[in-house]
Amino acid sequence: MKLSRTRRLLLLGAAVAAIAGVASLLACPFPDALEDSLEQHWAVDGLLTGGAPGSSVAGETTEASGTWSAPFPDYAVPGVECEGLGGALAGILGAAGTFAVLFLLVYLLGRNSAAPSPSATLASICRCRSVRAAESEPDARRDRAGRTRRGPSHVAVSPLPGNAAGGPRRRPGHG
Amino acid sequence: MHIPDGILSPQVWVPLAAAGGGAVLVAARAARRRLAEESVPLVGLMGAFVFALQMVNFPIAAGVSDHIVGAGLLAVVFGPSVAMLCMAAVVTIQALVFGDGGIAALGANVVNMAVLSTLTAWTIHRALNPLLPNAAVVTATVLGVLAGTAGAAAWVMLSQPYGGKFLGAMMVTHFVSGLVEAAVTLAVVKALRASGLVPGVRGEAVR
Repeated sequence: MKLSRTRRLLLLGAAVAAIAGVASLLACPFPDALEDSLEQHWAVDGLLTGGAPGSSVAGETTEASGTWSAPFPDYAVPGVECEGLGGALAGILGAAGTFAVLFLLVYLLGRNSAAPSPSATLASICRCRSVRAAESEPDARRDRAGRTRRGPSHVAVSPLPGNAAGGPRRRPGHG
Repeated sequence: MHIPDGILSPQVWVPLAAAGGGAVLVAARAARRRLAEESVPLVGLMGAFVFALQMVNFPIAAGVSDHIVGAGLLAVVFGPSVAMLCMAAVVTIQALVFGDGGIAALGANVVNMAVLSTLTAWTIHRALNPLLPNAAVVTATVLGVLAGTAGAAAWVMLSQPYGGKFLGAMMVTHFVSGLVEAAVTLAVVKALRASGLVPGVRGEAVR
């Protein structure tokens, strides 16, 4: 099975969507290990039952719940009555949001040195028609025939910013 | 291991917020020289992958569940700086958007999962990888989880009158969860290496 890098990335994206949207519905509803430890000790020390989770030996703890309320508390979408659907939606939204935030962050961080254009970066995911058309232009074809370039131009020859300072860079295996 | 609000005292969470923020800035600075254009979508996808994995709680004892942290996976695949950025993004989105982990405790959670877990896992993986690649992934993941757990337990114990029993319970439950996470991490790392999306045992995708 020899898939292009783009297709392998899409496959990974599909796995993410399946976990966030489907497998998350099978999540075990028990409190997690930290919550469980806290609850046991709250019960023992009477902090929870005393109704004063804001007090502690080291002084006031901080209830920040008044200053910010999460739009999708506990991975549920307000207004969606069906719990499963809400959870699946929240999972997909969260995963997509994480992807978007990191994509932007990493793109902006890498921009200064490598100067990849947003369109080229996006094209490395969706490999849209315009890119394919550009690759099949005469000069690109000649280039490929002459030097047998590996892979599409926007991926293979991306200048590596770490190279100048960091010595030889281990690259993902093209094979 | 997301610490909620109402647990940590200001003497604890304020310095941790500063430490977490500082660590993310350092990681961003270190990452920028490592990032190639082709790694942009992969980093985003792996962050989303860890976010999704963290939603799937599994039972580890009667009435107790836990989820994967993902720091070991990201550290093995990406190296420390990019892994720290991914973990910090996941933990921040969980707190701000989904109310998972406190707002005041966000810095503490970033320090635990994005700094302690990630750096521990990466250090151990780098040391063991030349000898035993599979054992390196497993050991790095388990000890990474335990490092983050020790951090979480420490911050809670500095704020609340909990003693050794709390620490013991935390370490035992998270050790079990860490073993599950190690198995999942090894499987995912092997699949990613086989796919060619990340390098083989000799390297990391971006560092």
